[in-house]
Amino acid sequence: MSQRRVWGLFVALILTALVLITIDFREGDGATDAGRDVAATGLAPFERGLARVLSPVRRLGDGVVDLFATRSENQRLRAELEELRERRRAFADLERELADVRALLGYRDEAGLTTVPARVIAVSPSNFEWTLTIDVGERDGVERGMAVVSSDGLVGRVLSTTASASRVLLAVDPNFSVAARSVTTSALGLVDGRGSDPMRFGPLDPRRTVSVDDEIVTATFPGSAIPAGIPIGRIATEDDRSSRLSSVYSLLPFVDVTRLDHVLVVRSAPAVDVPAFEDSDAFDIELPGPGLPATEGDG
Amino acid sequence: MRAQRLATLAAMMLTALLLQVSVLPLVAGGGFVPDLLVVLIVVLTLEHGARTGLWVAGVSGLLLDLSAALVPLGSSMLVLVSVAYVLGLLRPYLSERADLTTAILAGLFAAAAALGHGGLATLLSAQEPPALALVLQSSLIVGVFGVLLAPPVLVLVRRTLEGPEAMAGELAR
Repeated sequence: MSQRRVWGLFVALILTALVLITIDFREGDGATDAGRDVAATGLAPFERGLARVLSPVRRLGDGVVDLFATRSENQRLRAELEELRERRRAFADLERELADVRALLGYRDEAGLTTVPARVIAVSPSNFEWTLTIDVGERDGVERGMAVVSSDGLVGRVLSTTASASRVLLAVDPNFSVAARSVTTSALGLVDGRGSDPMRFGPLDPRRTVSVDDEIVTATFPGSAIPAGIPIGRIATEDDRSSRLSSVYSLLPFVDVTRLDHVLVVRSAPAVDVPAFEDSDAFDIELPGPGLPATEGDG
Repeated sequence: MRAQRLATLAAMMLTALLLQVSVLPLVAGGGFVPDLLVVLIVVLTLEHGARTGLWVAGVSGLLLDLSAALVPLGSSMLVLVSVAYVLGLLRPYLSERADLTTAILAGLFAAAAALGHGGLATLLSAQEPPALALVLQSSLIVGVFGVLLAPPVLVLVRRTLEGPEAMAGELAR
């Protein structure tokens, strides 16, 4: 008997549920809205009371959740910050590179040189050899002996070439020598590299002297493919001349060879000397070199 | 005496419903809310018979549906009534006052109810039906919650419906 009553109750409840589902499903929200409203109204005071009682617990729970959320957000922001710092470093590097290239291009346009732009791809691994390798070679028209310059001045000359790369002998290498002149006194002489020591400028005419801070630029010279007027450096001191007949000066190069990224290989010299400095027009000694276009002095 | 028992059952059911809609969502694990009503129905059915379980299941299921906004009216009722009925069929074959069995059955039926809710939502929902993996995951987690909730619910039901004397007798046995 009891089992039948249970069965009857079960069937009645299931039928009620199915009828409610059918009504709700067929009539949409409208049919059941009233019942839901009544339930919401009836339950609301209890829910409010319970919420009030439990609000400290809820706040505590929220606080714990927020703590974890804040921690994970903190980690995410730190990672983001690190990434941005990395990008900033890369950006600063790109900015510096852009400035270098702009200066280089500006110098090329100002000097009227026909050049091949190159990127420094390697430096000499030896402490006794000051050379570097650039990413242009014979295929780009680079030939042995050509001058290599940066926006600051003379870098060196091409020592050897392959199809796609060239080795450059830096101006500071002890094997490097170039004809030069003082911008102020026009004293002609030779500049030699001395490795990690300052370069040396020795005037050809012992009677012509130069003074400290004089700027030294390249001069045309027979057999040299290095055009005149390219800045080399500034006179630092006069060396001890007690053991020599003529004066010899220490020269600080304008180009920092340790910070070269982009350079220009000079394929042809300009028709006139490169106006390296504003007061470089003050002298008039010009020596034409074979294979190079005639200079102003030839005229 | 009968009226007092009914009032106690009603208070118990209403409290469980309020806890279900306002407190338990706060302790949701993995986004799944424990099903206290199913646990209560399991305990009541095992302790006081199928009829008690069916009545509580029917009324609380209806109230739960009314308090929800999107669930089709009658769907929770259908699930809870089915739980109470099946458990009522099993009851004669279970040993009395087996607390561990009650806890395990609470977990199993909570999981089954979660599957039932998921199945009905798939059949009746106008929105995108829940994914099967989600339904299975909710079933598993709600089942674990059911096992954990059963012991305190069992103690409360015995204390309120049977009185302290019955508890004392239970402990002395």
